[in-house]
Amino acid sequence: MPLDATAPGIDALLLTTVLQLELSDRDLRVADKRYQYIPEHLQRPTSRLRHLMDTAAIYAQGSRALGATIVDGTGEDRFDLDAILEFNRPAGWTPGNVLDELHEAFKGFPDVKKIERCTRCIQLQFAFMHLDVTPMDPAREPRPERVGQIFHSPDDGPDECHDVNPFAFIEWFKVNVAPGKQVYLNYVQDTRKALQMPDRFERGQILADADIDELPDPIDPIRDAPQVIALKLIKRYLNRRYANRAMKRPVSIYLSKVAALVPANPNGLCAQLEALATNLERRMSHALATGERPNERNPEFPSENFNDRWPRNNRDVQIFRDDLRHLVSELERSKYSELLDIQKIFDDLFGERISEKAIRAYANSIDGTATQSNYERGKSYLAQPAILSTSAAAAPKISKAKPHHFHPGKLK
Amino acid sequence: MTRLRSKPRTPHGQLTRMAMRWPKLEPQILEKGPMILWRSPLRGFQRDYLVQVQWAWLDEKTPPFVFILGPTIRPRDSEEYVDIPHLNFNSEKPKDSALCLFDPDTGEWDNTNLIADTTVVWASEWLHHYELWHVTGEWHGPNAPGPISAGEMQRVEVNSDA
Repeated sequence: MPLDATAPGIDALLLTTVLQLELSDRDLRVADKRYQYIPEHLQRPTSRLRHLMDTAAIYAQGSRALGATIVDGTGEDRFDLDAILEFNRPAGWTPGNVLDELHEAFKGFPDVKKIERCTRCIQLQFAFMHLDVTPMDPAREPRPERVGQIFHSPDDGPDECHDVNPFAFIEWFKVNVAPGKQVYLNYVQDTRKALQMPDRFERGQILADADIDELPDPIDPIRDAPQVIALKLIKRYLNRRYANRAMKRPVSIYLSKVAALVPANPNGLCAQLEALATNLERRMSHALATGERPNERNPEFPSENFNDRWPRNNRDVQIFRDDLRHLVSELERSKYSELLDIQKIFDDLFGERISEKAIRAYANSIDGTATQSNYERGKSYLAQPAILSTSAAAAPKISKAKPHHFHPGKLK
Repeated sequence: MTRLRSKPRTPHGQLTRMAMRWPKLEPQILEKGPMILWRSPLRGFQRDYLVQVQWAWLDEKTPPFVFILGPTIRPRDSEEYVDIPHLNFNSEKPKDSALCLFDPDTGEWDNTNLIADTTVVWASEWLHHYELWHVTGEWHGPNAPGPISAGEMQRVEVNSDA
């Protein structure tokens, strides 16, 4: 390991930043309940899809299933959830018919403010939350687990069907992500508890509060894995970069696959984020140099192309590459900056509101009582030594100095 | 059972320990004093500062002093140098103030201690809290009872005289 490969100060701030982007456990339960309520709504007597719901299934996909849900970061603290709704497509229905019928059937869904029919999904817009429901026609038996067809029905082009298996990708992702050492995971849990994230959803909405509060806490065993934290941070960064651009941003599933392909870095969260950004930057540079666009596939279902809608042209690639270079150079600069300047860098990368809260949360996490001071030999004092133990691959030598109190005095 | 050491540390013992724990801290022995100087970059919150640790070992009562050579430390906006927390304040040349890293009233440091295991760690800790103090205006490290800066000490003295 190079002498200064670790960056414990930056790592600690990246962690408190990402925790500020999370939903409270109660909010996650509300969100989960919302998509679980979908079959019931679609089975109501006036629903034209009622007869299709007897064998329907619904499950999370995308960021919720990966433990990578974050608030948007632009405007209100909105977040998006994705769900797959499996039901058998009636004979004769075109992809457009499926989406149109589903759009119609969602009318009257509790608390929904707007329902949009998108190219591949129906988007239910609530306060603070969008729920993208993608209809999927399960493959005929003998069916490989969760394989099916989703529908693509644009305003200005022909309808298409795509064979997919999002469930298998989620399972692959979970297997390919290293959770991190227990001491690190405990530290993250303790920091999360201390932050006490506020509930964004008001009480007494779609479901009785008792229904929500009685549910067990959502379990996301991989949400604290360094690779998943790097993914969340890069998504947040891109949310901000693309907020005022009239162009499509890199798709999350592509970023998620690359995040899992980048091995767990023994040097901590900043190193993990840099490794992810550098890996993506190399891919974009290669694409520009060779003209070969990214073509990342579902590793469990290779006919599913994660890049079928992004990038659309070289400009998409070039802008993303430049964003990645900016991220890497700013992270590097932060390692040689004092905290006041680090705060400005984080303002730019992740948002002013979040960076201020992240520093405050870090400062509050420091126990101001005189205890033994932890330090990494040859390097520095460590306020939070567990932050250096993300990976089982390397364990820095951490020692303790005797307790003491700072004190003012007079030299002359 | 661990026995507390009662013998002072020798220069050789301090130099050896420092070389083991902080290999980047380069020693220099000055005849005047006599004194050992160690200079090296030392990490604060994240960035490195050039620090100088100096120890006049023949003077049993004098602890090692730590000076920040660069980048120079500074007060928060609209405050004075004297308001920087936990300095051994040099009223003649404020910028030559040393860090005050322990409570002398409770004997937290004496010459039986290893500088590498106390003073250097505490100096890095001081720099860490100094940077946080610049952002939050609060000192988040352990404080001895009473004022936290020479400026606060002066104000307390003025108030008690009045």
